[in-house]
Amino acid sequence: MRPVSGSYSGVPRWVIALAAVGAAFVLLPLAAMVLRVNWAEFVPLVTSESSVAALLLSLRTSLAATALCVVFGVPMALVLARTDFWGQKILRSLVLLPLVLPPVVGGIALLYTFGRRGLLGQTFGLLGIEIAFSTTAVVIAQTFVALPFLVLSLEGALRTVGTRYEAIGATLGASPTTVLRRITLPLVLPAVLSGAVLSFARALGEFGATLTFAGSLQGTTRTLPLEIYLQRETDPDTAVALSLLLVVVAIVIVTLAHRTGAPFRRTTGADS
Amino acid sequence: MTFTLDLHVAERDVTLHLEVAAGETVAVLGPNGAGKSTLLGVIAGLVRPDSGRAELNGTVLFDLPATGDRRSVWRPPHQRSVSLLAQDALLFPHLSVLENVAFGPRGAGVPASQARETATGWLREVDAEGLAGRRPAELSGGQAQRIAVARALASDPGLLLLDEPLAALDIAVAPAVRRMLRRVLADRSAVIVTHDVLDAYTLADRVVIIENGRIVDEGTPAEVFDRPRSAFAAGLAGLNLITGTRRGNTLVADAFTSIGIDGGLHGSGIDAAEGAPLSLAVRPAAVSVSADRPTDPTLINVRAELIDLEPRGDFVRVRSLLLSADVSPKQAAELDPAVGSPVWFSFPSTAATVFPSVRSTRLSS
Repeated sequence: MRPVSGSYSGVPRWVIALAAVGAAFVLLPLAAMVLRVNWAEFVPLVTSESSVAALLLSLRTSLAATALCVVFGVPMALVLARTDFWGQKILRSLVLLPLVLPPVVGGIALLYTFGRRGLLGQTFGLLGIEIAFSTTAVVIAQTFVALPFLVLSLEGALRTVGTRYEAIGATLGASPTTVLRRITLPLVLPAVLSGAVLSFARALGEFGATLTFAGSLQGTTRTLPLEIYLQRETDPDTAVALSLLLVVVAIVIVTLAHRTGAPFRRTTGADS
Repeated sequence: MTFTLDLHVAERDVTLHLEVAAGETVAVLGPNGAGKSTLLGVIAGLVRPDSGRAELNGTVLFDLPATGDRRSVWRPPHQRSVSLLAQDALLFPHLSVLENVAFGPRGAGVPASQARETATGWLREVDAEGLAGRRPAELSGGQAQRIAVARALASDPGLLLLDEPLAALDIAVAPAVRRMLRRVLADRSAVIVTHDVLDAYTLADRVVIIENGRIVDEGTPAEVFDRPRSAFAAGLAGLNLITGTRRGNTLVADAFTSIGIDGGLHGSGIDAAEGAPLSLAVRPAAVSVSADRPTDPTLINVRAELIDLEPRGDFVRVRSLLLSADVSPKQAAELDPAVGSPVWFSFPSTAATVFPSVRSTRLSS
């Protein structure tokens, strides 16, 4: 899509000017934050006990949430893209609701589902399982908000790939499971990976639903964003240092997603 | 009989009966939208008809009764032993050529090494052994279609379906792929959808013509194209077809046209009974056009309104509702003012064939 240099681009100058303002709007705050970092104290600040605990908890829960997103999101995308049933459109809108829902609202909804007196919480309570305000709750909150990212990107990819290869595979005698394993999934693997990376990023940044549903207990539910919010009051230097850490992680993730999200191309033949 | 099919699709107004004998290749031809692709989709299990029944080598592929007097059966595509070869090769882009061909055997539970051996054998069969290690993206159209043929055959189908397998290929490579297809289809049960008379002649034992969702003619390629029973087949074979009824020694085509069939014409229709439906076929190249009635007594003359002049390379096709004639561009230019008015279409009686419009006997099956 990169325009060839010298070819007609047709973008008016005022559009370029507005785009520049928009870009500055995104980049300036990042620059402002970097300028505010206390570099002398940076390493001790990000390696303090509470910081490391928050970072590790964040990575652990986000990875778990990403795994759950793949396990449930891939089948959801397949059902939405490949089947046709009454109420499918409504179901799709509802499933994608967490994308537009304020995370705090999501947290409250989860509380009334898995909380002590929630819909399923009472059943879990009878079994002696306490979900709210535990690390499990953090994973559930992150999965709740991150799942639509994977479903959305994968469903689009499935529709783009179409069913022609799958039909041919079936006429060659492959069962639906074999077709899924050997044709469909390899074809949409880039979308699964980029969807997973996006879900991971969303899980890592989760704040509102986590705070509402899981609380903020150091080492148990206090993830990096919660730690940053907490430190902002008492120790702005730590908050800024940890924020920078999250920015770096985010940049790495965006790069990864961009790489894996590229359209299907295998020039290396690494698979055979 | 290895394969029988009865099919009814109300939405597309398709009602067909088809049989394929062991080792027989049947070509299905018809205008666009006649229901050819629907036919293949139904046999492969990708399209579900309203009602119908199909059986392959004693196995019921589907049985969908029109009324609820027996239970319906619908076997999914992967349990049918029917392979589909589409117009596009549709090789799996993430697999090597060898793995593409080995896909069918692997899916059937054959161990990987053995499946590769089978695949190599089929690649040899389609003259593509040297491409085994390539990716589909590195193949030309002709190469890809060869691999697709090998892949379809490697799954050892009881019936092979081919949906215009040469249509997407370069004119330069199509003949080689056609020869390869003739070799591998020789003793195989197959249904091939095509719009190419040459495909039908070279690949098929029998031809079925479908128009508006019905079979309008079937027979050997020679029968169907030399003595066509449908305007579509006549058009494919490049023949003028005049249909009518026998009255005395004439073929009565319409209220204004009757053609004498006693003077020098040949064909099985000469002996047809009074009142029998009769057809006459003649090549446009044998027909000439003139403003005045020719005096030559060996010519058969038909008066018809000149509808238009259609340039076709080094000649021009002059069309009327009944007959077309191929004339030189120079003569066509002279005829141009006559468009819209009646002219004489004439052909030597020896150039025409007269035959019964209804095929009396079906092929031995």
